[in-house]
Amino acid sequence: MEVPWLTLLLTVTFAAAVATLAVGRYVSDERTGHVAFALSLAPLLLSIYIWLMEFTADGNALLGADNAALQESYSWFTFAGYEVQYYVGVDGISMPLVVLTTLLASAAIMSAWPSITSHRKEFYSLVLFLEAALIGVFVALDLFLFFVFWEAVLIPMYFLIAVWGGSDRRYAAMKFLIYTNPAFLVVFVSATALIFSADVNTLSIVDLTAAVHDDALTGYFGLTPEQLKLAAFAGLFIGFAVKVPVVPFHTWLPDAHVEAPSPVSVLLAGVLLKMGTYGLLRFNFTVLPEAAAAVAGLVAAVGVVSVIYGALLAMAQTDLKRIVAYSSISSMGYVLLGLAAYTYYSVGGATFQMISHGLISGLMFMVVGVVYHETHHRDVRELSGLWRQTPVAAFIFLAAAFAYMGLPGMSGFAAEAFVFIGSAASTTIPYAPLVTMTAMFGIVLVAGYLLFALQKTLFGELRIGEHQTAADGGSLDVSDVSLAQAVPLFALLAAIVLLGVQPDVVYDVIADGTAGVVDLVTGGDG
Amino acid sequence: MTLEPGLLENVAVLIPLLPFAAFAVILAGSTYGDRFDLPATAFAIASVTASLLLSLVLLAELYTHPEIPTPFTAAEATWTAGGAAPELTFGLMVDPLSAVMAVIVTLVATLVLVFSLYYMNGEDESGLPRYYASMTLFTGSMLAFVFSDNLLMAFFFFELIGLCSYILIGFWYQTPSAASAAKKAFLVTRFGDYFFLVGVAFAFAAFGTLSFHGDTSLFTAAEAAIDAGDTVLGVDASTAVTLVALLVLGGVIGKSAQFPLHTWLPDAMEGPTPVSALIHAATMVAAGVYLVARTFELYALSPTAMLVVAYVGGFTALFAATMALVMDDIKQVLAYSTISQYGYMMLALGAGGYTAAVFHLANHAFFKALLFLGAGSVIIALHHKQDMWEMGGLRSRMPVTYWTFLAGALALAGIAPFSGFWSKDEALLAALTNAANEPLLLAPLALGVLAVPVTAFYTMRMHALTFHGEARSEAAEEAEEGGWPVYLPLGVLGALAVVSGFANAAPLGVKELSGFLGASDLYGYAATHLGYADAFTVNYALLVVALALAFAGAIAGYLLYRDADEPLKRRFDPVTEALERRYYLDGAQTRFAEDGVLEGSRWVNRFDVDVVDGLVDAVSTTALQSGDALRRVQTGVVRDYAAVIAFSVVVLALLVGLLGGWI
Amino acid sequence: MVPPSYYVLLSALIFAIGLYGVLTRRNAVVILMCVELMLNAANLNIVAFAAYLGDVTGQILVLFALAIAAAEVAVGLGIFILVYREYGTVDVTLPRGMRW
Repeated sequence: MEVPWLTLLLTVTFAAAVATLAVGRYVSDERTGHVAFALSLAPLLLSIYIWLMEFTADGNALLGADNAALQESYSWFTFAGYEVQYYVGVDGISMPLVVLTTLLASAAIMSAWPSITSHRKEFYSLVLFLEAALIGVFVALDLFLFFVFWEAVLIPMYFLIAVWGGSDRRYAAMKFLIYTNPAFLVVFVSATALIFSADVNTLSIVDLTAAVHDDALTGYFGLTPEQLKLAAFAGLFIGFAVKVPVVPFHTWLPDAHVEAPSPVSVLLAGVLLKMGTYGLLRFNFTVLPEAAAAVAGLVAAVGVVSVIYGALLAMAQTDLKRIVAYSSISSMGYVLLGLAAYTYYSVGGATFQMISHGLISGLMFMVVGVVYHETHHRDVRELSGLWRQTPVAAFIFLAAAFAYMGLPGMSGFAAEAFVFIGSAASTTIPYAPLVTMTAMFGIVLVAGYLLFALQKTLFGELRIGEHQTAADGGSLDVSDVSLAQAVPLFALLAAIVLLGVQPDVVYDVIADGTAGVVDLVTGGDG
Repeated sequence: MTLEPGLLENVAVLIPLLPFAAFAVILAGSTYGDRFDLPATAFAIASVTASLLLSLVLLAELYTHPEIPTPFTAAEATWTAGGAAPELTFGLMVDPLSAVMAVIVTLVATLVLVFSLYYMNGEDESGLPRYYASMTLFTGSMLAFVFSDNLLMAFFFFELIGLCSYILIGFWYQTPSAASAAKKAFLVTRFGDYFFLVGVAFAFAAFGTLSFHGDTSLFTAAEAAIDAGDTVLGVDASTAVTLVALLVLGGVIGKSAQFPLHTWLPDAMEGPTPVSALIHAATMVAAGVYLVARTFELYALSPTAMLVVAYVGGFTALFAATMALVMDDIKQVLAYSTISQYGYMMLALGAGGYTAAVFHLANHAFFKALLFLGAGSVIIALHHKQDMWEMGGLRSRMPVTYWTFLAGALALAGIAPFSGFWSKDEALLAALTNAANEPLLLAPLALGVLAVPVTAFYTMRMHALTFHGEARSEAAEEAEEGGWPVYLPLGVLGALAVVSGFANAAPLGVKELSGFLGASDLYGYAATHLGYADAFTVNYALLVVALALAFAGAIAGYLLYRDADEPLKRRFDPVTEALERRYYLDGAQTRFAEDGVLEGSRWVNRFDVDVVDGLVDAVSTTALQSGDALRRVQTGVVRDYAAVIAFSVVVLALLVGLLGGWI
Repeated sequence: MVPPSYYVLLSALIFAIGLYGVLTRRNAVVILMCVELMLNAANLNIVAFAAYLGDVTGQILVLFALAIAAAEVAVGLGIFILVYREYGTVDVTLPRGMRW
């Protein structure tokens, strides 16, 4: 019997969300987190099982009806002559993202145990609901289904920030919601315009891709097919760029991160940002390769600006969360550069960077959360010499920071090296070597501000806020990470090192999923 | 001794693998904290000693069996298959150069770890597992770098070495200056590595391979591209080769602390002295020079790149040596001396003196490690005093240190027959010989010759101040030498400082190293592509001049400082001021980082908050305010609404009437 | 037979009177009466056109409208009683709770 694995995964995750809420009534407050974590292991293990045992994708999901693995499609309803399907499937791009989602969700839930102390069952339930919606975004192959999941992500995220956030949480949550909604509108209009002008009778993204590639577009709204593609590209790009976020649409991110509780930041930086780059890769760069190649220089320029500008902003911050938030903007710039370059290594590297950055930023926010929970400070000027008293947390912080800097042996280096090697050889970006070189300067800036943060917080004499001890004696009332907190930290660190030493664990499938995208533009000699 | 076929490969693989294994064990064990001190020490020393033995086996095997084809790949692993793109692999490449370098690294590492028993364990330092974990990680990474068979792998371990350096400089992390120096070291070398990585990306984009050997090596691909007149990276192939070579040189300048990225090395002396000996004198700093030697065939394709290498080297040799003249801290003197000596190696490479560079690298590794360990011995004896003005009179109290230090000092000063003399002379000889073919080499040659007496002068100044005259502090009066962990490394290295020069004492007709390295092939290569000489003949005039200059400098240094007096500083105030302030370059770089980049980032931040986010907030503010204004229409009085409705209906009726033509 | 324009004019007059009352008076009861005037003006119109077209549907519709208007008056008066209890008067300008 064919097992509907993806539907099973989605169902299990939704069920975990509901079950947390239900079981939460019968167990003590402290136990709720444990229950939620145990429940979250189900989708995690299931997704890993699916990847290892059932996943057999061959090529990019959008570039052939049979390419995606584990496809399921059922007619849902027909609207205005278009058949809307429940249509899911995974390929080398989405499978790693699904596992990243389940992994980070479990890690986030575990790291939330000490810090989330009110409305526990609602919190964990929302996190699991968020996880389910995120999985849905990555597995949906029907446009309508994709949009439904896309919007479904916003709802739990809004509440997670607005209810459990910091002092200015309402502003941040509202900003997040208002920013992403018009962005979605632009995406929606652009995608709809494509659908209307293409010769399709379903909302399947695979069919849409085929129709666009076969030049089966009629003009629409007074635009020629070429103009329409460019206009749709622009609309989709702006919409997804907000989510990534790309400069200048980035200002919601630092506020959201600073106000969100750390476990939520983990998912926000780790997975939610990838929705934007995933959308860019799927729609802008796969459905509309001609338009993408035509404006690749511009996209790369935007990427470079994001890298450098984000890094400079990070440098000016003193709040640890803000530093990581701004450096996320910087890291996502590399993804843009890699996608625009349209070579095997650059597009594969950009996708690898999504996974890598998801793990690293997740780890970073978790460790910042630990520091904040223990010291009640996040400002680097208020902290000093933590290494002496919390060596394990400090070690993780150091490792995460170096991973962020792209230290060889960790996944960040592999991702960045792939992107750089690929984009230097790009044929789509004008002056590709020069553009690449400019973007690469980010690796110096990131080292600058992270080393500065490390020096301030971990080294020197022990000091937390006003409390200070002598150089060689005494201790302050802070404790190192507990075992429960350390498990997800070390798990993520292990994953980061594994991907740095042996990137093919993930890059193998990514290369398979992205090669077709590159061939669209280079015709096979990328 | 002859090894079974295949066994040699295993030996080569184990050399870097053992320290990595020890690192993993120590890292895992460090959760036990200080209780793991002893096992950590044991694992570190055992693994590195084993690597040393294996390296010696490898070297002996290659030396006694010239028929073994080199270079060969001892092991290869795929980093990524790359999908449709070319794969990226990591391989261990064994050839005479890597075998020699492996022996240097493991030998110095072993001796330094033995010395650490005295310097670290003996002083009851806390955090020893961290120390030994970093040291083994460093040794493993350095060896992997040495055996790298392609540019990407070289970069990979080049950076890991930098990480170890960062951790070890900041070993005493509670000292703010150590934490700051660690940051500076990583950041400055990262700046150099940035260019290196750009070079890697460009090389791969341009030539499609990064390999160091084989039919499709980077060098043959580059050569073929130049011969074919290809256009790569949007420029012609020879420009691209120059570009790649100069970009890689960025990493070299950073790691080997060449001008203008040398500023991190003196600060790096904040680390424990064994670390300075191993990492910041003998091996890591050598990685840059080693990389140029490794990719010599790439540099030799570009006359411009070669000249840049020579100029950077020549200038740095003199520039750093002058600063060493005025330093008071013994480790600072050694640091600037290290920078200067690596300048000689760069000079040699740029001038086509491949053997000279590798030879000097080896000699320098031994005598500089010796000098650092000697300094370490003194520093511990004086309870962590490093100022030479508080030393003096240690000659009788620390005889072993004194005599071995003297051997190292004479080697550094370039006094025959100590090791430095032979290799430094060969470096100058290379520049002199090829200046006939490339007149632009005259300037770096002149700088290199000028640096000879300066080097001898500061070396003997340091030696005189440390060991001669009267004891100038209480600690110096009571100084005592350590036990065998001090004597053994100092003895071995002291002996090497005396004899290692005879490995290639060209004036005596000994050219063992040159022959072993197969340098004549490379000379021929350089002759083809650059018009350099394809062999070097001993120039006795140069020999005599250099030796005379060295003697003059050494004697002057000894005589002037033997009485622990500062005879020069007062007389040349503006000059010494400039030297002591390190030519104002450190300050300028710090100001650039703090007032330039950091302040600039604050400006950007203000722009972001006020303009970009300001615009976003303006949108929401506009919406809110217009809503606020409009809602005042809602009075809550039903009659008003009715009036508006009635009025609107009338207006609409009129409009419809007018537009429809009924009125 | 009286031409429909007469009815239309009459109903327009009644509607205008009603509207005037709604807009100018403050007493809720008067306003309610004026609303009834406006409503019946519309009814008159419908009946007139129904008769003119000979279609009985309009007349039936008006019967329904009258019935509903009666119910509406009941509801309206009920509200006025509540308003009177709250404010002691049925002046429509006084209750201002239904605004920002």
